[in-house]
Amino acid sequence: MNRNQSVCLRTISLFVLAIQLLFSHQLEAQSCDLTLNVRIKQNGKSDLAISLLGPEVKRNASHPQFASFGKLCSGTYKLIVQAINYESFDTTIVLNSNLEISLLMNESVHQLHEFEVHDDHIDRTGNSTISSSSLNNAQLQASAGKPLGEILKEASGVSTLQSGPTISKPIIHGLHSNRVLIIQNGIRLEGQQWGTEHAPEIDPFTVARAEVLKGAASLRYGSDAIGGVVLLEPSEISSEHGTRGMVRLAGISNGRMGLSSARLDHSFGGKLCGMGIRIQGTLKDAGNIQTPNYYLKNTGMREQNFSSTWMLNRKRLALEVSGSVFNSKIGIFTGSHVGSLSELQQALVSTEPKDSAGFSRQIERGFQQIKHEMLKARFCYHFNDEDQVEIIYGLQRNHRKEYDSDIPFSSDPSILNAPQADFLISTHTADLVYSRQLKNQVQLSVGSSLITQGNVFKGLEYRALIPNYRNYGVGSFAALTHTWKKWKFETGIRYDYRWLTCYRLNYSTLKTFATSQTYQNWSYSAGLSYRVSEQWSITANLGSAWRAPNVNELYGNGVHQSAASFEIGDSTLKSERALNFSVSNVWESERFRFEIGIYRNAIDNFIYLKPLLKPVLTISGAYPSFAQEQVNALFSGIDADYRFTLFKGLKIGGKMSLINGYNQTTQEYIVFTPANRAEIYTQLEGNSNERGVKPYLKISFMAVAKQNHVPLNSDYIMPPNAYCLFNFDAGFSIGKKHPVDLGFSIFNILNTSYRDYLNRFRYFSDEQGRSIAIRINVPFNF
Amino acid sequence: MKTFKKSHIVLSILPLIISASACKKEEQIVDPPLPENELITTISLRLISIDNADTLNATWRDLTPNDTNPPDTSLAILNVKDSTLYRAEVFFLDETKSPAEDIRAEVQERSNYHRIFYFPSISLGTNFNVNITDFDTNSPPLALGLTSNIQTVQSSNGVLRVVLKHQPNGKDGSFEPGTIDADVNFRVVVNP
Repeated sequence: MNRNQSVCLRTISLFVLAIQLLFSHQLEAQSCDLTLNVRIKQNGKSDLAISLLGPEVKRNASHPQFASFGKLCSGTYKLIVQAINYESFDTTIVLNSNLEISLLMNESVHQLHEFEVHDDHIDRTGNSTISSSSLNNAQLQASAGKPLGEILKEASGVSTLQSGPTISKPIIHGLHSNRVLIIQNGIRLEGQQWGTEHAPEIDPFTVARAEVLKGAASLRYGSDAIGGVVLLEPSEISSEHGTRGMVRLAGISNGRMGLSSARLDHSFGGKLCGMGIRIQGTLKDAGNIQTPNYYLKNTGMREQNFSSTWMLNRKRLALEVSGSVFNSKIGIFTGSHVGSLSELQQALVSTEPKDSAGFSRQIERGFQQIKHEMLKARFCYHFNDEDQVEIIYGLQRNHRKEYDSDIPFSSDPSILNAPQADFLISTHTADLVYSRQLKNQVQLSVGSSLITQGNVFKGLEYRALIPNYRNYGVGSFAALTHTWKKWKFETGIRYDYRWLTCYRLNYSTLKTFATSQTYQNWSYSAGLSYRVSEQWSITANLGSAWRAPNVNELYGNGVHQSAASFEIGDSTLKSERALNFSVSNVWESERFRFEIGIYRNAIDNFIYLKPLLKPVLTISGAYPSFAQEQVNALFSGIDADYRFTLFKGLKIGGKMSLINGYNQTTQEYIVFTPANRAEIYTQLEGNSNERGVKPYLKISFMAVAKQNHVPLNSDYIMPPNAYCLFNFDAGFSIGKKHPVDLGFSIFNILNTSYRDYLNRFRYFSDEQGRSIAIRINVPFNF
Repeated sequence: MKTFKKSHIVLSILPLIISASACKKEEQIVDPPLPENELITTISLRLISIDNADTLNATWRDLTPNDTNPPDTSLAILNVKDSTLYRAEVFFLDETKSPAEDIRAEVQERSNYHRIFYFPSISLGTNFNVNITDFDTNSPPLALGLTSNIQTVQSSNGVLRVVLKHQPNGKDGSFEPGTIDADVNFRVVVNP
């Protein structure tokens, strides 16, 4: 204990300002000819002892600001910085190329942080060869007010599946819902992912970093992720003693949305050094969304979110307990309510929705009300520099109520105000990961996860769509990463077992009966990355994962009102098995960055709704019927991303995603595959201030092609036409001592009318028109 | 020191195991459908000729509305006489309940939100005419459709489509607003 306290009392802290690859004129750099430069910014002029410890070397330097270590072999080194009378600072560096590290030194009384610095992005237990895109804080801030699904679209290869303007969810390489896992702050989000009209229950203001892992290769996060994984992380609570926070305000013209979010952090000093707390809350209020020609009736929304965190970082121990509540009420566009096929056909031929309206903030019946509560406890312990163990427990309660615009036939007021669907899903998850740094640049991680989930249905209707159920899942994985010269190998394996019991009612005897199913399978992944030169690296990954069929796919039977279809489940469905192969090429120099990735994801026993040609006759008319079927599907495509600095202050860039989804069993395309899209932009930027914030002006042009690859007889109308949008975005900072960040953006500058193939409401209305957003971020500290 | 740390880990795992095994098994209780919430399973038409000489009943029934089992339409047929005036009534029933629930009361109570439409098929031409005889409380009143007069002319064959529309806040006499609660077909034979 005493030792920990002394660590807290007098330390120097070093913050990594920048890590830069150094140029080498030799294309084939010798593997034992690497250079590491260390630059340290400090206010004083005290001499620092800078030492570098490697597998076979120990180098020392003494200088207030700079040290250069040459003729190094690639490998893992420990960098130690020491000042007189202070506890030393050390960090681990994985050196694969010439590097320059800039560190900012603060002398302060606070907790010493241990962290690792790599020459590429953060290694997530063997995920670095998986193709991925990440969004930084600046990109996330520029998207303030958009739903999470829309924000993630910034990453290449990601598109969104929408149900009107307020509900959207991410699609990764053509796959969505249950095939995409969302990991929020280390916990897999367990809501009702199965529904296309069920958006992720996340407050985007809590996300400081988002990363999208594309393809079936992530062993760490469970078997279901055959489409990919979205990793969302909050900002860290600073370890420096004090109170600080941020108030964020945004106003968006379309829907007249007002947003406010505040975060308050406090880090303790003295004996409680290393302990921090955070409280955070967000309020959101919007009214009817406007398309270029009309308002969309009943498309307002409200959101109230709250979260709090307690954490403790001691030298070897990290603890965190956090809780959050997400509350939303989302109006469902009145014009999308179709009771039967004949109503749908009527909506399809009309150019404007049957119920048009002006602006209103009122949310009428025809809405979703969702409450998602989460509790997290994390325990992390570093036995020594090589071994660490992490345990995360999560409890989630997701309560979703769907109110149809139809009032039930009843004279009982409690029924008249009751939701048609009411699901309460409770989930417990526990994850344990042990990782160890072995000799010779080998890192091993092993882990286990447990999950149990129960669903209770209490609504008036739709009881046949999702029955009550309980499931248990257990999984274990092992992953190995090996760095050798210019090569990096990754491999891993995972085993999962799932048990599912559904409880349904026999309507003639009114007795509950249970049906159980079990699923088990292996997942594996292997990846390789090779640094051809300083600028060029190639990465390849082969992964296979599986997904057990979902409850609605097994037992859902009945009219799905929001889709105007009659869906027929199949309790004999087998698990899906995906085999994903991806190769990506990155060329990165000071002025130019180009990345291109190709992928091929073959999914056997892919579960989809096959259109049956015979309509089902019900009391409310005839419905087109769809049955859950399994086929062999193949998704393949190309994602490209480039950035080029023409001269200092002017950048151009762009990205492109091409995708093809094919049903190999019936030799036809797969419905709801994203259309090909491309985006280009020009950005003017100024010099960055002390906090690394650059003022910028950005104009972008996005083009989305018409989706011509659609199966026959599976849709009511042909996909909408191609469209182009111009968007504008700007951001800058004012004030020196207490800087305030300001942002301004215009979406759909030309107020273009368009419809998107991936919006399920394209049958009924246009997409939203021009929208102007203003953002203000006010950081503060005491 | 080492064992102390190990016990720490065990202590932190323990609550996880306890909480995971102590979940309530709420899902094993499946709520039966609420008795007050009514489904429509059955639509009947009762036609009585103006001279009370002829009473006809036709019924369209689907007792398993959330199922692919086809509805029972064997009784969904009207055999009417030509050149006759009938007083017609329509019934919406929930026959999953016992005794069967009559939903007409709710339709009547919220008459300003409902309308029953009758569409004779083209093949019936002008030989089967439906005139609604009841109205809601709007001003001016709009047709409701629970009762009607049916006038037959010459012998013919065809289909009568009966649609119950739910038109909250949008009822204006036309078919377009609102949503469909029931939409069924009855075969019609006008006998000489």
